[in-house]
Amino acid sequence: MNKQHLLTGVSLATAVIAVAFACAKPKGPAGQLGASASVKELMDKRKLTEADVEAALRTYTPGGRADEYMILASGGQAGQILAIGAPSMRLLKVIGVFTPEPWQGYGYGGGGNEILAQGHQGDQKLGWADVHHPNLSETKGDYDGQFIFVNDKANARVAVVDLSDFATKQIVVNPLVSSDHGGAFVTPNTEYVIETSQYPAPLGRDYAPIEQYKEKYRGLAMFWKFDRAKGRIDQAASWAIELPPYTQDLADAGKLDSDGFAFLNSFNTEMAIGGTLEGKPPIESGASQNDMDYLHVIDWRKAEKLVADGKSTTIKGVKVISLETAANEGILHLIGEPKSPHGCDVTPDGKEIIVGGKLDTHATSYSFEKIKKLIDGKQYSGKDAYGVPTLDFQQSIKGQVEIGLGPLHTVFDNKGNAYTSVFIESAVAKWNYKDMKLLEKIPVHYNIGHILSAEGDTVSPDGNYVVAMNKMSIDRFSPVGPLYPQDFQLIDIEGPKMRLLVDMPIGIGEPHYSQMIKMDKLKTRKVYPVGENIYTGQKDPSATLAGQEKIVRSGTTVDVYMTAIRSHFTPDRIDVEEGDTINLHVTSLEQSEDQTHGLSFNLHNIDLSLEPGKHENVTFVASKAGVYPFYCTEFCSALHLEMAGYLLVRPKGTPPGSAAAAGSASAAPSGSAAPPAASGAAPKK
Amino acid sequence: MLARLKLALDGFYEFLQRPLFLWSRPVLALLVIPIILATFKPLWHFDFEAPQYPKGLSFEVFSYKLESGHDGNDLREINILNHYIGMKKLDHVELDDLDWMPFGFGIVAILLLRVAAIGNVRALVDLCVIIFYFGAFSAGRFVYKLWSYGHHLAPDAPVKVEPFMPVIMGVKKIGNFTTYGRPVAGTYFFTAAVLGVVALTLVHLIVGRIQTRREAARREKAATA
Repeated sequence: MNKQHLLTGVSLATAVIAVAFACAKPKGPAGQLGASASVKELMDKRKLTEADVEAALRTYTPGGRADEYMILASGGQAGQILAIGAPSMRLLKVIGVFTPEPWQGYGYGGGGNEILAQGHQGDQKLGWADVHHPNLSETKGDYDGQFIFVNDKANARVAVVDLSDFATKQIVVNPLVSSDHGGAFVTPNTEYVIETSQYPAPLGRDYAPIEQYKEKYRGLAMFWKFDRAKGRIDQAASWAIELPPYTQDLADAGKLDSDGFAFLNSFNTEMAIGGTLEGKPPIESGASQNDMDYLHVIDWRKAEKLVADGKSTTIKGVKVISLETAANEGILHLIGEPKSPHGCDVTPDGKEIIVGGKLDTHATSYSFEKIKKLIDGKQYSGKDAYGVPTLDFQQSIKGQVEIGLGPLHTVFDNKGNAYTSVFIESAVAKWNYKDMKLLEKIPVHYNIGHILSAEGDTVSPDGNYVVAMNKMSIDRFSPVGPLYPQDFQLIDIEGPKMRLLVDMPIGIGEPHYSQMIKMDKLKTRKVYPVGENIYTGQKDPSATLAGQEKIVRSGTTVDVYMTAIRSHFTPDRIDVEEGDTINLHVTSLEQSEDQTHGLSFNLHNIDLSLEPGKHENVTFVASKAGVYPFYCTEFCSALHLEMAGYLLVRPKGTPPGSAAAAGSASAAPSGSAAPPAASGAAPKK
Repeated sequence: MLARLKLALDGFYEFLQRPLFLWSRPVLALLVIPIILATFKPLWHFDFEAPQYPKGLSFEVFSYKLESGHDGNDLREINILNHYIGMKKLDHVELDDLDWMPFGFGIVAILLLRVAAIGNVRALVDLCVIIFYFGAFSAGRFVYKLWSYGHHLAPDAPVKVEPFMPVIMGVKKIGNFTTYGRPVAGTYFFTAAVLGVVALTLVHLIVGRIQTRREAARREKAATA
C-alpha cells in the first residue's frame, strides 16, 4: 500500500468513526478526539485495522434491528435449509427439510413424520439428504417470497418449503432416476420446478449392466408442475424428457427473452464408466478427454404441448418424452461447451447464458438470440450419437472472457456486471458481460464453490452484496477438529472495488447454492390460528379447544384430546394398559408471539414443537409397562418445569387404579379391591 | 309562616310545570348524539408493560364488549398471566355488566328525547337525577368489579399475592408489569352529555328562580298599589 492510499484509508476510517460517535458523545472541544482515541485504543487492543473497523460498521446489526436480506442456504449433507440474516451473517434458523429436526419436532412423532415418509424409498427410511440448490419461487422472474424448493442430489428428491411459516410441506421422489443435480430451479412464474439427473442410470431405477451404458443408461430432465394455490407439487401433472447419458449438471430457466426455454450443461459426454480395479482409467480422467461437452437447450413450452398432445410414454407413472421424440420434435438441442463445465446461469435480461468451464479458463456467454435463430432456421452443425441436433459453438456464442483457473458459477448485479466463482484460484472475478471485460478479482478463503448475490438470479438484481461459499476454511476460524467449518464470505460490491466484509462459519454441512432475498418480501406468519395442522394448512379435524379435552377408549385404542397452555397440559394424566395404541391429538391454545411449548414422551422418541395455535397428531404404542413423565420441552414460563404430566402404562391385565398394578412391594391391603368396572370401563363415545 | 311556605311550594310546582326554554329542546335532542357515541366507543383503556412484551399489552372496555390489542390476543394473554395469581377471567361472562350497560345508555337516550318532546322542567329534573344516578352507579360498579377482581383470588393459585386494587386511573406497578388506566372517548362523551343535562337543569333552576322572584315582586307591588 503506498502512502497516498494509506492516508486516504486512515482519513476515511477516522471520518467513519467520527460519524459513529458524533451522536453518542456530547460535543465539546475534545469530544471527537476523545472518541476516536478510545476507538483507536480498542483497535490496538484487538489488533484491528481501519478496514476491519469499516467492515464491522458495514455489517454490525444491533439486536432489535432486522437484517436487510435473508440468505436461504443449502445445508448440504445436513439435508436442511439454513436461514441467515445479511449483512450481519447471523444464523436465524435451520429449517428441517429432509432430515428429522428435533427442535421443530420434525420427524419425532408428529405430522413431520408423514412429510419425511413421502421421501422414504421402499424400505429405505432415508434420514439424510445431500441438499444442493435452494430456489425461491418467482413471479415474473422476480422472487415473490412465498416458497422455496430444494433438491436432494443423493436420492433424487425435491422438497417444498412454505416461507409463510418456514416449514417443509412436501417431499417428492423422482421415480425415474436415483440422483439429481440440476435442481431445484424454477421457471419465471414457478410454473415448473426443474430437476435434472446427475449420474446416468436406467430410467425407472431398473438394472442394466454397466457395459450397456450407452444403450440403456439415460439422463433426465424432470419438470415438476407446481400448484401455487395448493402450495404443492402436482405429481400427476408433472412430466420429464429423456436425455442422452451425458452427466447432466446444472440447469437454469430462461427468463424474459428466453422465457420458455431451459438450459443445462453436462460433462462426461465421453460416457466414461470407470473400472479402476480392472486397470481402466477412473471416471475423472475418462470424462475429461473431450475439449467440449454439451450445453442442452430445452424448449419446455413446446415439450409441455407435446405432453398435452399425448406424445409421451409413461414410465413408473411419469409421462416421459422419449429421446427420439425430443430430438425429432425440436425440443432438445445441444451446443458444445468448453471442457467439464459447471455453472449455467442466465443473465438478468434473459439474453445470455453464462457457462463456466471447470477445466477451461473462460466464462462463455451464449447468445439466446443466435441460438434461437439457428434453431428456427434448423441450421444444425450435425447430430450427436443419439440423433439430437447440434448447433455450432462459434455461431452460438457472444464471446468468451478469460476469467482464471476453474470458473464455476456466475451471479449478477444491476450494472451489467457478472461475478464468477473461480474455484482453483480461490477468487471471485468481476467482469462486465455487456462489453466482455474482466474488471477485478478478489481472493476468497478457500476453494469457492457456488456464489450468490442479492436477488442475483432474478430479472432485477440489487447489486450490493455477493457471498462466496467456500469449501475450505483452513486458517479462518478457531480449530474444531479435522472436520472444518465451511466459510461464507460476505463481499460488498457497491463501491468501485469489491471489499471482503465478514466470514461466517457453517458448521452443519457443506452448503452448495443459496439465494438472498430482500427481507420485506417475506410475509411470515407469527402464530397459527388455534388448531391448525401445519402440514395440511387446514384446521385439524381433531383440533381440541379449551373444555373439549377428553380421553376416549375403544378396545386397545386410546384417543387423547389434549390442550397445552401456560403452564399445563389437559389432561395431564394418561392411564393406559401395556400394548394400547395411543392416538394423541394436541392443540396449543396459545396465540402470543414466540410462546412455544414442547411435548415429549420420554423413552418413546416423541418430541413435538407446539408453536402458538399448532395442532399435532401422534400415534404410538405403549409397548412397555412403566411410568413415563411427559413434559414441556421449551422453557415457556416461570412454571415451565411444572408443565408436565404422567403416562401411566399398566402391566397387561391390570385394571386401572389398582394397587395390584404397582407390584408386590407397595401392595396395599385396602383400596385395591376396586372392581375393574368402576373406573376401567371408560366412557365410550 | 305556613302560608309563606305554601306560597313558595306553589311557586315551585308552578315552576316544574313550566315549559322549557324553546332553545333547550333541540339541545336536549342533540345530546342523544354523545350518548350514542358513548355506547359504541371505548369507555376505558388499560395498558400493560413488561420487559418480555416489547409491543405491550392493552385492552379497552366498551359499554357492551371488551376489545384487546393484537387481534384480541392481548386479553387472552392477560388472562393467561392472571391465572397464575388466581384472578378470575376478564371476559364478558365475568363482566356481565356489559349485558345491561348498552340498555342503560339506550334508556338515557330515550329519556332525553322524551324530555325534548314533553319539554317541561319536571321531566328535565327527572332526567337529571336519573342520568346522574346512572353515571354514578356505572362508575361505582366498575370500581367495585375491579376491586373484586383484585380481592377474590383463587386460594389454590400457583403464585400467591396479597389482594390488591387494580389500576383504574394513572399508573400502578404489579409484579413485573407497569399498568396504566385511563378514561377514553366513550367516557368523555357520556360525561359531556351528563354535564349538558346538569347545566340545562341549572340554567332552568336559576333563571326560573330569578323569574319567580321578579314575578313575586311584581305581584307584591301590584298588591300594595
